[in-house]
Amino acid sequence: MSAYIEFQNVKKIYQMGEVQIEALSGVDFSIEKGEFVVIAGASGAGKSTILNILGGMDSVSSGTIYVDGKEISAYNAKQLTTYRRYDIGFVFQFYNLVQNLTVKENVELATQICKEPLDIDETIEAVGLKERSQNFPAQLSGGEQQRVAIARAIAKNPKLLLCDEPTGALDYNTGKQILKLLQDTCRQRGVSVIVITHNLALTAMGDKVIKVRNGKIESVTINEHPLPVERIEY
Amino acid sequence: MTKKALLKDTFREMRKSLGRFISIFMIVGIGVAFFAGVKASVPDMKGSADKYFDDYNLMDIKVMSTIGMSKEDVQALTKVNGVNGVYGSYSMDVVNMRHNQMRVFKLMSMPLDSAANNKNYINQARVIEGRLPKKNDECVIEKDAIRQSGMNIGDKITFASGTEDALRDRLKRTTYTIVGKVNTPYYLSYEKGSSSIGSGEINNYAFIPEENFKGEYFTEIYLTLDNVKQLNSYDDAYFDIVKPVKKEVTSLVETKVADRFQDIRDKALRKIADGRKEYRKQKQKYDNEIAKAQQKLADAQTSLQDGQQELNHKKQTTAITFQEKEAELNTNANKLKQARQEYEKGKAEFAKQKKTVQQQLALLDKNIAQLQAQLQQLKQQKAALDAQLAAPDLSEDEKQILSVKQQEIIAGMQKLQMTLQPLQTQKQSAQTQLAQGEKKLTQSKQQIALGEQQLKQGKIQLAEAKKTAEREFASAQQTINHGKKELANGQRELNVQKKDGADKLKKAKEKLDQSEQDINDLKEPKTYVLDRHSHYSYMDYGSAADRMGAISKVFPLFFFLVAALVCLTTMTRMVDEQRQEIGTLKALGYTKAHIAMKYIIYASIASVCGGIFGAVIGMIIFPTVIYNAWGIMYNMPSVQLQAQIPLAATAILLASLITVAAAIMACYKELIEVPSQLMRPKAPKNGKKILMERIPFIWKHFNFIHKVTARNIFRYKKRFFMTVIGISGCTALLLAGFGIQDSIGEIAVKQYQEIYAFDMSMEFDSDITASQKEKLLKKVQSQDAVKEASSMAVYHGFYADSGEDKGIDLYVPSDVQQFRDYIMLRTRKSHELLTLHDDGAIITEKLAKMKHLSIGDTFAVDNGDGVKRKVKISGICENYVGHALYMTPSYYKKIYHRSASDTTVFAKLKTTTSEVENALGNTLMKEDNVSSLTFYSGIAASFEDTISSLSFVVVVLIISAGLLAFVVLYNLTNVNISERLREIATIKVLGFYDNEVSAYVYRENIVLTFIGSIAGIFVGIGLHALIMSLAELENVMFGRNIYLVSFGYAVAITMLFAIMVNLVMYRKLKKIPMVESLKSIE
Repeated sequence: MSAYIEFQNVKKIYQMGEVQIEALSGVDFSIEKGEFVVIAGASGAGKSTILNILGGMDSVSSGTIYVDGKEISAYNAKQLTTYRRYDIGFVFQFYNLVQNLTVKENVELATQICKEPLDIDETIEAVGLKERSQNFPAQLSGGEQQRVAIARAIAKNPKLLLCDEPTGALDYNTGKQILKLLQDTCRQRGVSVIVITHNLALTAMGDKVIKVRNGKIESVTINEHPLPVERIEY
Repeated sequence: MTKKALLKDTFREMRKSLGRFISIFMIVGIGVAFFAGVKASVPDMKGSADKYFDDYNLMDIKVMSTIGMSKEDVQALTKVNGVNGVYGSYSMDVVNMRHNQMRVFKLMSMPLDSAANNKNYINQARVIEGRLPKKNDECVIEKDAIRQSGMNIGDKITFASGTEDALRDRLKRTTYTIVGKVNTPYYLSYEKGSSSIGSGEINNYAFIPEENFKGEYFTEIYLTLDNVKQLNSYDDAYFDIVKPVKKEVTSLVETKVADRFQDIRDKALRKIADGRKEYRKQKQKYDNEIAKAQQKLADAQTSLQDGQQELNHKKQTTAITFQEKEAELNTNANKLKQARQEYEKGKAEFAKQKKTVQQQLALLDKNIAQLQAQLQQLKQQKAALDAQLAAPDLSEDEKQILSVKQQEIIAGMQKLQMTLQPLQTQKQSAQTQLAQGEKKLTQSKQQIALGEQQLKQGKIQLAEAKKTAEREFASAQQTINHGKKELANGQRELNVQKKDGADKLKKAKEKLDQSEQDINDLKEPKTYVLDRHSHYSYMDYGSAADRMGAISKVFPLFFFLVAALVCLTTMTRMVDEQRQEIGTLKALGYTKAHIAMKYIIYASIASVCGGIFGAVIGMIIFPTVIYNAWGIMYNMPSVQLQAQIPLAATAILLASLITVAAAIMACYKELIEVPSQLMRPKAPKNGKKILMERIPFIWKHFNFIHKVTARNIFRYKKRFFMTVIGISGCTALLLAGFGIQDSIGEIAVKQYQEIYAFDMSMEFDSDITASQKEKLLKKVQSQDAVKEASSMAVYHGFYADSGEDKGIDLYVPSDVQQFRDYIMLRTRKSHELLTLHDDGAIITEKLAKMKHLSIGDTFAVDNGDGVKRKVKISGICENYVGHALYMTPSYYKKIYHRSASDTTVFAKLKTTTSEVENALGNTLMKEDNVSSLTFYSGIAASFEDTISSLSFVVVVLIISAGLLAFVVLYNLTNVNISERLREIATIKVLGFYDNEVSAYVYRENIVLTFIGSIAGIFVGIGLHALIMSLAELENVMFGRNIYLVSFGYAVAITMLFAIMVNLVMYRKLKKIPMVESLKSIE
């Protein structure tokens, strides 16, 4: 209970017609505040389900989850929305920017609804897009778009930054830049960052590495000396 | 298509995307329903009418002549080739008074053998209630839907001629028992033409058994033809059969009628001659009577004058007599006065005398007393001597001495006595004289008093005599004056009678002259052989159907346009979604055609199914609704729907083609791309700066949701147009619907409250004299309930409209200023008041419009007396019901060469409750010479009833509008949501609450709906104007205005529909899983 985030015997069962599919069959782990966590696993291992549940996008079938001392597994839909609104920053694999809004406006989209947002311009500058702030997403490269997404997530000043395959749609170098950005954010701002990836090479950079397999935690490894992004090859 | 897998995929697709399938199905359904439904209503209207005509044996040809039709004509016509049934019919216009309301009835004959299969029973009556007459004293009357006559089956109805002639001359009986209420195809509309009697308009009709008509000639002959019933008489094929028969009938009838004309003319001239004789007799009688009366009056005058003269004379003589008497009295008085003066003088003198006499007497008395004393002394001396002498001792000497002494004494005594004697005599005479004078005085005093008494009496007598005489004279004068007054009265009465008599004679003469003129003017008789082209109801209904056809050209196009846009949007979205699948199929080696086939099949199945559904529903609902809506103005049996397969097929095919074209257009862009490109996610459409951003003032005040909305709206043009057009259609329909109510609903108020300021009109009998008119007007004015009243001339004239006489009222107010208080003449648009001038007439707007008249034009109008003249138009006034012409008396005289005389009293009432009106009606109808009485509150009320029944048309329009809005908005929202699934999921993940999410999506809907509504207002104004002009009746002008509140309603209801759609979609929005945001771009 002392941990910042606590998963206790979390199960998630999807009902697909007649068939029940157990996506998570009893997951236990914990994450500390300010940790950079990498959750890795193959496709269908259940890592996205963990992210969904942790991000308040889905509910658990059984088990409990505590985030910062609150039992979010007991939240109703509205409470979950509030939780997402104030506590979570989300970085998607496909950026999910609103095409009709400029870079700055996309960041505004997030900041308009939270309590203590960061300064928009500073945030955009921090992700290196100062010059592009009046551009539309379609005018940006994939990496730039992902940086906007990260800016959008950070600007909310969340407790938790959840990243779903943030480099999945990016080329190697760009992916590395993004990861660097995430790592820097974690280090500089003290935000817990959770990155989901199927790329095991990335595990080296995490403070904690959680490996998932078939809906179960395969291993939780504390990495005493995480590598800076620059030194990771994948 | 042998590609089974592909086919299977297509059908699975339908099941999977049922919402989309249904949205195409629905919009095509609605489009086809409108197109086919509205279009089908025209043939359905005509077909239903034709079936009605056939079922009730409506005449194919009507034969009339100016001199009627004879029984021989009927016989002859029966033999004409191609003629099936022949019916010689009588008809006449009569009036019926009921509840102070005069109604003009068209009285028509029917055979007692009223079996429907009697081929010679033409223009049959359709029984709505009760039955047809079985006896000669029974009748059936029109089942009148709008203007309820209040007559019921079992009631007795009495007709009158409405003119001076007795109806008995033309009908065997005038009272009938109502046994049924009917309609007839001969009169479809409530407009039954004009009449020369009553209000000039036929209100109702009635059928009575033909035996009741006394006339020698039929009014008209109706014919039905062979081989025409199976044809629709609104088609040309029908007239192809009618034409040759009509030609033959025409030539036959013309010869027959011409022969008969000569007879009739001769007879009529004879009758006029008789009339003249009678007139002369009457005139003679009138002259004699007047002369006699005049003589009598003159005699009376003379005798009165004599009496006066005599009286004056008597007065004079009497005055003289009195004067004389007065003079005499005065003389007597003078005399008396003199006498009294004399008496006074005498009295004074006498008093003086008396005094003297009394002094003398006193002196005498003194003397007498002295003498008597002396005498006494002597006597005593003598006595003493006597005594001495008597003494015996006395000597003789002594005695001698003594005797001598005695002697001496006696002598002294004698002497004394002698002196005393005259004195005493003197005294006596003085005393006598005194007494005598006194007596005389008393006597004259008495005389004077008597005279005075007499004088006084004389005066009193004279005064009395005067008074009596005066009284007598006064009474005599009174008698004379009375006589004079009576004489004056007599003269006045005679004058009135003289004038009335002269009027009557003049009228009779005029009538005779007119009749003679008429007969002399009689042109060769005209025959009319008319087919249904000249039949008002047939043509009127046909044109109503054609007007409907005009609507059907505009209306459905709109729905088709929206349908096309909806399909295009929907199909585009579908193709977009399946981009990858298309790429895969292409990569697998399917041809473009095969791939496109999926969408084409999808679209065609949806549209064909929707089309069939729409056609079936539309072709039932719309013709029924439209038919019934027209049914308010026409009495028709229920609608006969026809299966119009070609029309339905056309509509469905058209709709399907549009949808398929939309499908092809949608997938064409995708199909030309190479598979590799298709497999990759489509590059998202660029965000673009929109125009609004260039206006920083507005843009800066937008928050990001506003910005997204604004950009979205301008980015998807197809959707923009689909929504704006669809919603504008919705608003337009609503606005048109409410507008119809506004425009028609206000007619009653405008016509009967604003334009007609009067509440009642009372028409005089046609043979009323001027003094009777005056009396009646006074009578109306004196009623408690009447605020003010005035009389003016209103003639029920005619104008020619495509060969037929149509009614028009000619108002000729004698007092143009006062007239303004009764009828408001103003222009409709600017409400500018119009004034009547002597150089032209003011015409009502509808007629001006119909006849394309503008100020300065001339227009031929018959004044109702058969005088047709060209009238110059000097103004066009606002008017909604009926046609009218207003002119000054001098202009009327100038045009028609006769003076206008008042025919009608117009009155304003203090209150217009039915009790007050009934009471007033009862009072006034008891008066003689009242031809009709009309209260306008009743008319206004029945008008309102008619209009309120139109409201269901509005309901249909609202439902249509709602459907349109629903489909369009549902589709728009659906497309928006499905396209922006990721975006929505993302903002959900970002922590937007449900209501924030829906606001994010719906703002666009609301803005588009609003833009559409505003556009719809303009479309609606046009649509409303179109419907109004197409639906207008011939003698009613509908308003053109829409109340402001209706605009509000139209927009508000549109927005309400939008909100309803949004509410439905809200659930869908709520259900969007956030996991969508994690999926890769498809």
